[in-house]
Amino acid sequence: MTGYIGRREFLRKGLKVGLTAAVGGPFLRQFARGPSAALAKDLPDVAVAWGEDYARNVLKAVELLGGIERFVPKNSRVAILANVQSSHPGTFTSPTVLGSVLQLCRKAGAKEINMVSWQALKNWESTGLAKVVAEGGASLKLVERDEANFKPLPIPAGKVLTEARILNALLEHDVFINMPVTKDHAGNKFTGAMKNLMGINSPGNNRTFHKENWQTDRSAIEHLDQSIADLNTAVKPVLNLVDATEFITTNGPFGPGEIIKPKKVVAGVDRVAVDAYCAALWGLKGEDIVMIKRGQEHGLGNYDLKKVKIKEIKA
Amino acid sequence: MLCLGSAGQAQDPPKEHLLSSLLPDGPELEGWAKEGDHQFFEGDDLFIYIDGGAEIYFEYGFGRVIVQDYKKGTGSRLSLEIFEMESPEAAYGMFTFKSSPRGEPVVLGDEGQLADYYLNFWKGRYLITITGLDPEAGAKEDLVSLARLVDKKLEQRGQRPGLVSELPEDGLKPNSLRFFKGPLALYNSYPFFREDVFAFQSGIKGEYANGSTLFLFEYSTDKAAGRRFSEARSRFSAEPKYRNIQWDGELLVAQDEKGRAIYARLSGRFVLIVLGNNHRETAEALITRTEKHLANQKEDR
Repeated sequence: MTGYIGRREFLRKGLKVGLTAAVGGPFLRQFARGPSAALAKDLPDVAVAWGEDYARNVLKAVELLGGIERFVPKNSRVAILANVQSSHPGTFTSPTVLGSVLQLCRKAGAKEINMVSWQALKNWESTGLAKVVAEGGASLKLVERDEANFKPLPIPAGKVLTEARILNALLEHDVFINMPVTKDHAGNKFTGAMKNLMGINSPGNNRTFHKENWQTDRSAIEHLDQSIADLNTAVKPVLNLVDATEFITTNGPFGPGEIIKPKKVVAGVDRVAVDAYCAALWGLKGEDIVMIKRGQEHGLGNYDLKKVKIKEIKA
Repeated sequence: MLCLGSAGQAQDPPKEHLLSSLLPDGPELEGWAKEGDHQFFEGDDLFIYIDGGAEIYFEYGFGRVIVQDYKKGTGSRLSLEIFEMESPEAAYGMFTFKSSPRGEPVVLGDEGQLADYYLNFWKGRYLITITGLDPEAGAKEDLVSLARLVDKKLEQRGQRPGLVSELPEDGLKPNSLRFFKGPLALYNSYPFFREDVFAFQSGIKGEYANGSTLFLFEYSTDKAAGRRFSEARSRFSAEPKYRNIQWDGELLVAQDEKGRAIYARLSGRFVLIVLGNNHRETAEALITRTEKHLANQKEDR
């Protein structure tokens, strides 16, 4: 069986990568079972659907990856992480895109769908995402920024980040879908799938990504990138579905800034490849983004788009 | 939800009250109304509001910010942010950082710019950003009207940093100006190095009609500039993305990974770099013109 990971191997990997045993574990098992693993061999690493109908783009991108059932088992509890940091246009996950994912999860027979976040309710409301969540039969699992709501997680593979603090709420789920919007970032030039995982890490811990000992380290712009790559060794979303429909390419991540509209939805399991593809949408190269390079060095994926299987269709 | 920043006006502390008094309210809004309470963030709490985007404000010098959303009966929404920076220089710097290359000038404060769905202006130590949250419905007139109300409430004016006037004006694209106070802003304009190799006191960037981009970095003394230039020369040689490095004792020439030429020269307490013009004579002419301009400015002072 292609890609099968036996129990001993699963446990070894799980122990090695910390939370993967708790959160990523079920996904690894899922990938290893049934026809989906065999199917994965012929599926693209990055699936892209573009067109005016953003909801349809989601359906088509996921279809290219083998269908939602590959990622969301029946009766599973699904956690979704959207980007809802700012309500400025082009800075948050599109409500249309999220609505379409919720529809897919329901179709797959998910028992429960929750948006997990420590962002304020105001953000969810002002972006229109709260309304879509309510209409889509999902729930907002919003937690306060209190460190007690986060579970300490050692990161053995971390080069600068040795411990993360992951939302307790995430651990109550079987499936984790990562749904960022790709956009500019003043700190490291780019944000996408990998960086979005800071949304499940505690704000207190995230601060150490930006500043060592709370002070700006002017000689270490790379520190943020390495921290993000390290965090990604510990948490593996089952699916990364990136909103690349309309997003800012300047003044990120908060905006307002210049907006471009590629009208694309980009999906894949390989976060590094997905990010490299998204970066290229506004002329950046994966290898120029330190975070993406460090992700590949950690073995999380491949940024060389010539070596990555990309399937792109007009929806 | 827990929020380390504060919201509302019931018990505004003095600094918050000062900023909240700048928020347009009541009949002056003409059809618009405040939507919800304002939010206020001071110092490190900016991370709560702009997690991930706060460092750039700190690099320029951030004090506090107040945020208020407004709504019109039809459903259009605007977001008003009033940033109180540490100095007019800091406000101007953030203004240039946030400016759009396609924006149009608008007469507001010390300088204003209107883009597709947002507006920025600075006045004194304040930077004001107004964003249409529903860009399809947003009218530019609404952005400007709200901005004028804030402008009227701000009394003190500021002046652009002196370094800005050191750039030769002939052929300079006005929207291209970027004022730097640290490596992060420079990195976002052009990532020479990931580390803070230039470590300037302040810097300015301007793009010219002939395709050249001029960077001018200022240091406190000739010696400090010389030390940094020397360090930069060795770093250009060591960095794999630069090739065809030449140094003739005065001018450093290099080429980046996209084939763009880089010419750099030390001039007193300034480092001058011309990027992107592969015609050496044109690039050198701009450097020489800038040096003459610097000399003239010095005499004028």
